[in-house]
Amino acid sequence: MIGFGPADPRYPRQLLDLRCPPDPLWVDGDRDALAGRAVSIVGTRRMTPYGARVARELASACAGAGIVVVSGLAQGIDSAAHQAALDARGTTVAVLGAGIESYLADARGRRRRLAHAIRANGALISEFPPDAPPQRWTFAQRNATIAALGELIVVVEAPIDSGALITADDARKLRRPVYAVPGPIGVAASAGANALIASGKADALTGAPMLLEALGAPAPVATENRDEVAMRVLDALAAAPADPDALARRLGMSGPALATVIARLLIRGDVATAADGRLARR
Amino acid sequence: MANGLPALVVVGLPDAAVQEARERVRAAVRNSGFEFPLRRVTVNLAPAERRKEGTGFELAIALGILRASGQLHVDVTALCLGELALDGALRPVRGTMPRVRHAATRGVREVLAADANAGEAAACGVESFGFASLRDVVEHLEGRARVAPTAVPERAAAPRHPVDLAHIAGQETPKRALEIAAAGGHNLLFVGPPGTGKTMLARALESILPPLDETEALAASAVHSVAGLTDPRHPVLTARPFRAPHHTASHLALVGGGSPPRPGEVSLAHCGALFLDEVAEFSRGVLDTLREPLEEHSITISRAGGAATYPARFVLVAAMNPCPCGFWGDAERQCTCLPEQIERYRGKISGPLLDRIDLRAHVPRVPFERLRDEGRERSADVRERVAEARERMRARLAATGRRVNADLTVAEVKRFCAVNAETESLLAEAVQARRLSARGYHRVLRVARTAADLAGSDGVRSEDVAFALLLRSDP
Repeated sequence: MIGFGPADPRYPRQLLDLRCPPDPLWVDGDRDALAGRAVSIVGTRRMTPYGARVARELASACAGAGIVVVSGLAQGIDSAAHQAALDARGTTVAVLGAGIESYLADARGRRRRLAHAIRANGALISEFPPDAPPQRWTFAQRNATIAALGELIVVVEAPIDSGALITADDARKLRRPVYAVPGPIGVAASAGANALIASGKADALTGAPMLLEALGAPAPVATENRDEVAMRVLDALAAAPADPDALARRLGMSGPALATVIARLLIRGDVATAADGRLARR
Repeated sequence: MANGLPALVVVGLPDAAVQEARERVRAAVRNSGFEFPLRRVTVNLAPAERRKEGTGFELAIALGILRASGQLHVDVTALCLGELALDGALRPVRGTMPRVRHAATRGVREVLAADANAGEAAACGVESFGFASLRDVVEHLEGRARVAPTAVPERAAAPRHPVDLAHIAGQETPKRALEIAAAGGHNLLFVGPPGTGKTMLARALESILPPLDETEALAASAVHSVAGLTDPRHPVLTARPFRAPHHTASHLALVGGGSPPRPGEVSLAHCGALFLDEVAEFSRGVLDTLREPLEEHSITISRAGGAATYPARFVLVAAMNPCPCGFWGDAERQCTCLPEQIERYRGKISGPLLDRIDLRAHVPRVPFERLRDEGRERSADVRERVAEARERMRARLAATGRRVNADLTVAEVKRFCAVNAETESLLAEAVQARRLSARGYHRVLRVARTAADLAGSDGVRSEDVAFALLLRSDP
């Protein structure tokens, strides 16, 4: 782990846009991870399966295009974005709201594994001394750092009082483009993101292709053509996971016929069974 | 019997209840109109090294004393079982059935027991006589008032099940999973928000389990006899047991224990089903103890006083919410759980327990307008289909010693669950892409085999495999 100040040539230039750039910035992992292009993906801790899927799609599209995914290593959307970037063999940077050593000492289980994986394929960074404990204000402060690191920022899912909205505000002040993922009306987890769009503070993001276009990155070649029935099943699952019976009713298919289609999608990995036994798009 | 100060001594590692037998035997002998010998009486319970427990020896001790003191004039070759009251009345004891069954294998053809136990003994295929008192036993043995052998008790009429599948609206996939579990002996997990009918579905399993065959009925009844749960009028079970312990159950209650070890819920569910509602609310230690019965189909309880092995082959049905508050992933309501809470909650049934669960089905909320739809299948019809599927399995697995598809070994899966080339290549693709573990692959084929058996198909069809994939429990 090293710390360097704004005078250091390896210091990320983006951070100089901040009113008071972190000095020093502590980095653990690949010091050059911040040299390339980066996108910040943020959202609520209490994500829904929809948010998980969208965060995954966006982060893996960025990783596929060689763009670094920056987020805050909180639970929910942040972790989903980091994990998807890692799964797509991309680089990802986590901006911590505590000192790096302090975080690693406290994290357990899945969070610990994820933090170590990020350190191996990107970097953990923090503007706080290594042993600084997390505090309420440290998170608000690091949100600005997340906003500054990405050339644009995406709010995937955020309720009305979400910290992700603070990040979006910071990004606007830094004149970074802000995108928000629209969600269904009435779902609390998307209310804040929808409000951002409604107030004109953010553009509605329609999907990974739009994000890549905004970044000027080449869109990946279209994957193999799936048959029409499979596409209908995937469409039906796009908004929310569903149980097989509801899906069969909605599509007007018989149980066995649907099972055969879904089995294929399960095997291909387009669909997975969620922890509660429902079918969800990946 | 020897000269000396009048005394009654019991030797041969008797426990407290057997020691107390001295007083009961003495009083019962006197109050039955006999004389208690005024000599030193030594009762030896052989083999001396094994600990004796319970009150079942008292009739035998009393008859032995009467014979030795010349008040009973014939030798007794029957198995004598029963506790004595102070007034000489004969009382029933726990565990008659396994004792009689064991004695029968050692050539004992006749049993003398309390009235309430006589039917139980008769059901084991021996000549059984029931008595109300010690006096009646002696009168019978001496031929003065012969008692007719107890008839083999009638089987209880088929029970009426509280929940019928026809009562449950919608839920086609969970119902199908239930049917597969009943037919193939596969363990099943229901997940869904509160109030969607997980418990009701699980309870309906009882109504579609296939009928008990002769050996199963006796094995299951014997466990109930040990636990003292036998109905004296119908000692042999006619319906498969369905046990539903509460989630506060201790591991002793679940797998059995105590000294001497008594059977727990897993053994009482032998040949039937064990239902764990709110499975994630059980303590982790308790769930861990399920590992042995799920793996071995029996449970060995070792205590200082001795070890006991009870059978425990049951279908496990578990139900849980998707998260502690129950609304995770719900389209209408916001889940209030933190991700860590959810992880901890789900972690309860991970690992060894989840490894033994073949099927997982989501139980969704049924829309109101569908609550009234008609034309649902009745349990009786499903049960018939399940029984036919079991019959197919029995015929196919006769040589292997296994009864249900869930118990197939890897080699047997290869032999009995062949699928067509296209399906095989699809599964191979899944295994290569690490979306299906080797264990999951075999599990899918076992479940598919059962689905095919239910459809009356000799071969495993691709749609059977598809359905098994849809319901598999591992990620």
